[in-house]
Amino acid sequence: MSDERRTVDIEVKNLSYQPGGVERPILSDISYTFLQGHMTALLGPNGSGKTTLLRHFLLQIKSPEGAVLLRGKDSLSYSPKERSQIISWVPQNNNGDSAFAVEDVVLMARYPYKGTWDKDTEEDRKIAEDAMKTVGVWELRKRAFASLSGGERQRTLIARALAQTTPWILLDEPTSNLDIKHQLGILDLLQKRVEQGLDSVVVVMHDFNMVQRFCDRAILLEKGCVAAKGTVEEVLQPDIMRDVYEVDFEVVEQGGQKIFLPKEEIQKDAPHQGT
Amino acid sequence: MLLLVIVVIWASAVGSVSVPFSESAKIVFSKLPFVDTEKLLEGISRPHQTIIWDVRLPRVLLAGMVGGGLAAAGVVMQALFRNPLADPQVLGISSGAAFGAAIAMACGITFSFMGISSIWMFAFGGAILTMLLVFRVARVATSHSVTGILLAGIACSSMLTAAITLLMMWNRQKLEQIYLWMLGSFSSATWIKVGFMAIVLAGALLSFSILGRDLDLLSFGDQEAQSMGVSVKRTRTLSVLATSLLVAAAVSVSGIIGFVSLIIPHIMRLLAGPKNRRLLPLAFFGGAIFMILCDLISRTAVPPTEIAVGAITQVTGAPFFLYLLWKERRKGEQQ
Repeated sequence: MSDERRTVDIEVKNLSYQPGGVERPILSDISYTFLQGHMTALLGPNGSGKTTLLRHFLLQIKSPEGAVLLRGKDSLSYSPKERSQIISWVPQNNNGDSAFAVEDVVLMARYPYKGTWDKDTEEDRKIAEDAMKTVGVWELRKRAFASLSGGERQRTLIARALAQTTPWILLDEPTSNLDIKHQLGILDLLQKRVEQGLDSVVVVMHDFNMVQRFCDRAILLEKGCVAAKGTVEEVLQPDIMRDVYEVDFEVVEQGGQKIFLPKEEIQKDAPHQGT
Repeated sequence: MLLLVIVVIWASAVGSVSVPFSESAKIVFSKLPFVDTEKLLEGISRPHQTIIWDVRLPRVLLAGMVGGGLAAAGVVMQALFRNPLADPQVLGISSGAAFGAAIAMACGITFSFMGISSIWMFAFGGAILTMLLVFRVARVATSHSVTGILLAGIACSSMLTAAITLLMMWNRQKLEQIYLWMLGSFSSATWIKVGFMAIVLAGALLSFSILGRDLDLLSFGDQEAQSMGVSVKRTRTLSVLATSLLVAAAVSVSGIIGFVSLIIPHIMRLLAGPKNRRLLPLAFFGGAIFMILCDLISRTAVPPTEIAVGAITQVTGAPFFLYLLWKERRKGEQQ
């Protein structure tokens, strides 16, 4: 883990994506730089292209040449293992019935550092142990992943992402299965790691109040385009939110924080806006 | 591993002409390099040497390799398709081999080239052609996705099974021969078959050992595996290719022996957990020992006739599997 690795942004330049047979582009001409050392919220209504954007970073979707730069280099120039040493991913839902024990699941994250015949080393085990203790799944380590509750699974997958020891962590609605205590716990943990310079984080979230509390930068997508970007303060403007989410908000100021109270939908078929 | 060696020697010793275990062991070891052949074979009669070396040992080794190979292939298929019911037969390869063999038998094509019989050649050819067809269809339809391969395999499989049935209807005098071939047997084992199987098996097992960790990660789905650095397409192509070749070879030398590729992986997973790198070798040895024992029953239970080994694998394997499932459930309830 050289210092050099800790100082790379994810740059997106004029990224468009329109798979065959789809009427309008899922992403159109997106340019944005995810700055290292920040916790960036990726916002937008359902179907606005958030997950698709993340999948470009993970090389799950091949981006056009020069459209996604990792560490200043075209993402296409990385092998899957090299890319996996830069970015880890916490997926939205996992309904898998994997029979693997929690500790084995977390150890899987060491894959990008392994040759074909390598065994897990003491160091790998230590990293996995630290990750499990950090998110509080150490007690579950012998349990089968399939037997866990939704929240336990989500925390296991976050432990797995930590054990991948990447400078970037992408999380797709990491708190959707968590109760309020674990939501705060996880987001607080991520925020602390960002402050300590351990990780840079991109997180998809729908809860504006949580976004204000934990994130410092934000990008808002609408129908595949960037609707707003900047600090959280700059993006979370009532009029912008109203236009993008098609919901009227009542904004209450309390202790320097805006609290968004959804009032009513503007249009009948407005997308659901989450909590 | 040691157990496997003991089983091989013991199974060679047992049969209609009984040979003592020690003699059997001596004959087997006498062929190893750096062993004083003369001294070891002292006092062992020629017929015994011939029975062990030329008749029983190739048969036992072939059974072991086919059993182990099928079981390992089963592990890979179940991991790849993330489905406990996946087994190499759904790829349609077995049916392809059976169709090839049925054509050879029905048309009365019988010749032999360097000890390789026409039926064997046709079976292997049929398996490879089916495999290519399944791959071709799957790629065209859904860009090499797992479900595509599965569906194409099932479609080809039922088509070929129907074709075999027709062949049998039109050639009633060959019906029994075709049917018995399909049930599977090791009675035609030769050293050439053993050598052929060993080469294919070595290649397949090497690929499997490369893939062990990748298959673990694939249990979380293609996207998650990819996010942790697995080259999903490479893993998928390599494992399907290696499995297909292995099954094609196995079926062509022994016929269709069901169940081993489905049940041995499950039994071993219950005993050893889901990690593929540990599971693969265990399944291989388990499958080999299981198949050797089944073949032993098939040739010794009602001498001088043989029972189809495929029937024995099912009759003995299924109850044991049910018992393990039942025990596992009880354990679950107690917790």
